[in-house]
Amino acid sequence: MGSIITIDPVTRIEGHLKIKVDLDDDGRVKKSYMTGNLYRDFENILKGRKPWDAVHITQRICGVCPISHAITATKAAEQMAGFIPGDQALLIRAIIQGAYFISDHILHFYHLNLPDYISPPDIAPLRPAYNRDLRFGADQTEKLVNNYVEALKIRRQAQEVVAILAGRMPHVMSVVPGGVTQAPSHEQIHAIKGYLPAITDFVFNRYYPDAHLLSQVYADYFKIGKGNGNLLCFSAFDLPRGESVFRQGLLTDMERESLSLQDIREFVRYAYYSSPSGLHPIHGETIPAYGRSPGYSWLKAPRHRGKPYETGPLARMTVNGYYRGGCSAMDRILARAEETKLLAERLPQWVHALVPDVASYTDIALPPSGSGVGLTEAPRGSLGHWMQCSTGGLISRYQIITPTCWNASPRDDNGVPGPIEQALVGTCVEDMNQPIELLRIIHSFDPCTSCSVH
Amino acid sequence: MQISRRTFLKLATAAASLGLTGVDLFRLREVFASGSAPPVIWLQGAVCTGCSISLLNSAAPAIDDILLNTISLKYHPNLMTAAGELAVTTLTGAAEAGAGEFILCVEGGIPTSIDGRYSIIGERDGEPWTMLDAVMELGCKAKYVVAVGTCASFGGVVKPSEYTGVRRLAEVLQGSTKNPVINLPACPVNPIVLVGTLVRLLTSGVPPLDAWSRPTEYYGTSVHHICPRLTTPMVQQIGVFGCYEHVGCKGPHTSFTCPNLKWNNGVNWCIDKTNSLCIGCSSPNFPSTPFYGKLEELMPCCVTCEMCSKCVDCSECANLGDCADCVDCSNCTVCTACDNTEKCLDCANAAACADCPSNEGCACYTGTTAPVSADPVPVNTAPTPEPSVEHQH
Repeated sequence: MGSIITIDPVTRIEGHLKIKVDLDDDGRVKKSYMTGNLYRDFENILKGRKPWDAVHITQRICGVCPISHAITATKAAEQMAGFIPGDQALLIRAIIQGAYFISDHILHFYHLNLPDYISPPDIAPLRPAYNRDLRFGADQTEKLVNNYVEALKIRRQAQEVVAILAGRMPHVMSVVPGGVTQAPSHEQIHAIKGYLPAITDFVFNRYYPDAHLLSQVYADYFKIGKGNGNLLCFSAFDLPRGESVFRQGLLTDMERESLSLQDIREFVRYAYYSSPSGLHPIHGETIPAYGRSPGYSWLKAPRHRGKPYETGPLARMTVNGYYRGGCSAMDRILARAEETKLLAERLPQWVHALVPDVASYTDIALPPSGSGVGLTEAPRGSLGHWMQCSTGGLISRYQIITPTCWNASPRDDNGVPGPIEQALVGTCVEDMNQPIELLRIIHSFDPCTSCSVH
Repeated sequence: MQISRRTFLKLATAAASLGLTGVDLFRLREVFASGSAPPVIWLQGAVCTGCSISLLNSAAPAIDDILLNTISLKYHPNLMTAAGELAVTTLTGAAEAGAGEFILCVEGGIPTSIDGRYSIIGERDGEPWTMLDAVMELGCKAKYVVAVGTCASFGGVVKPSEYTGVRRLAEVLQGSTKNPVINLPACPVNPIVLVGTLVRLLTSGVPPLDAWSRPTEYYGTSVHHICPRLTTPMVQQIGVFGCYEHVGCKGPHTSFTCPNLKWNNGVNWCIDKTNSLCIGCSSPNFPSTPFYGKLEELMPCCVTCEMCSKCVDCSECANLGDCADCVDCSNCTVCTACDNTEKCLDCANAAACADCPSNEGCACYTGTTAPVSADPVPVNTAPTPEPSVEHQH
């Protein structure tokens, strides 16, 4: 038949995303094109601001991932100042980040991902829906829908844990260069401990089993949405004594290689920018040029040594040896559930290690000029901020590479597609009017398009 | 849709925090008893989705009650199952079927440059459908239009771009709506303000609004005025107990009952307990001034006056704290002829404010009392000026 499917908007993600695929005569995806459909200009808006302001402005790139941006911008400024935060500050940041990962992964599994697999109740916004390849029985569906509703509460409560230590969520206040402004009181630590049992119980006894149930009923998705085996992870959840939950690392075609930040480049031949292509982010430029041929997306195409890399829970968990499986749509969903379980186990330990009423903030000054790099992981993968300040201590260049920028990138200058584009190729679409297979693969990456185009 | 007893009790419990009276609750019960949940359409322009996450963080009433029992959320890009063409036809169908009845919630600023193509919400009839076109088409069909968050209300964090031409919602709709666009600024929107306003709209219609078209009950005082740190010693850094006015706190210049509302089910807010300051996230001029800084660095620019770009020299103003004075500032030429500007937030005749009093078509007129607000009285409705470089000391 040889035809084209366009899904625009792709819903149940963050941001504005369009997908276009070309099918061959057998209904298999031959080529795919991901398009980020919103440009806001953050990298230019940041110019002339103070590095402190970047902590708050970059959070507003994404209200789903603000903490990762806050931590990354903070680390960039702290690197510039040569400041190393104390143990209590690291613990508080880890708790904030951990509770928010848990909240976010629950949101992803139940509210963003699950509607691709169940027949939802007849209520907006769950209906209308496609009506294809729905394999759960009535009892299973009812249980999953009940957990969908329960998950609304649990993810909200996990955000409340974040807010107890961060001021509020989204767009947190306490994480700034110099540590964390809040000294948690006995009462606050007690309040957090009060939240944890329900959250961890839900993760262990609902989310984790539900993810495994999904993987059994839809086991064919271990063979669908295959990644290219290039996985990337930055260091994240920095803890006292130089420990961290995740170490940075990289697999190329599932073989371990060294990760070199110097070898990252962003290509824009197929993106809507007139700025030069192939720049390292420390020299990066962002000049928007909508409609510029042959561009088809607002995303730039980041590459490491010229190759596209997938990032996210599967990459983190695989690179760090916590997950040993393949690289498919269902592996992404399972690795995310495994990671949530891992963090739900660690979170109480960090809370227990907090010292009540101990301040963890130092009023630091930043040098008037310099540069800093901040790296961490967002729920969706590796995040980097590259900041330069010129005279007067004001930002002269700010470049951001987000997880979904790696995952949903368009083609690079050599015409090599991005990871999601590659994962869609070869997929058999049974019903062109209800291309549920494509949505399931895209959702397995948990795209955050607002982050990826900033 | 019948309101369940459980939901009603929860709403009754939440009534105090939402500022609802017994009469409101009675009307709410009538609304639910009438059989159909009020349709809500939620569009996203230049967004970060933080306001949607904030909606999901609503605790009293809980979000599941809101979604299952209170409203019928016909279109929401983050939550709806339908995608692609099915999503777009759901949107257009809901707007058609619910014309004159639905509530339109708009999150994010509206990019207007290059015909709005910096923000494309989907594909309709094979063509890109811009956020700009979507709000223009749906805004006049909605019964109520709500600008959710600071970006939709005032342009917010995305406004300073030289490229995108972000405009605030009320400016784009220019009085073409059935009721005034209701602004619910804060970055993100506070869930109590959002849900409370939606419930008010369902029970008693448009609430009393201030000069910036914000519900007076949530924005009638400055953060500073009701801050529990008001009488504490001035400190020279954040992270220690005290008042942060000397290190850049925007509380004195930000109209919002944030200290009372708090965030995330009331567990915390930015200043007290967090030991951080107010960055003025609900202010019309957010984020134009540095968030942190010593008083002497911040003083040269008149922080209360940035809506009029001419007021850089307002240090000469006798009364910095009261921006109503700026109208009299010889540098502010736009509105000197007009004594009625606070009523014309959505006026199409932005540049000629003298027209405002006679513009009967100015749907935004609410006839509310003079604002007790810390924000400057809106002296014009022209595109609000970009923050000038001079402000960024």
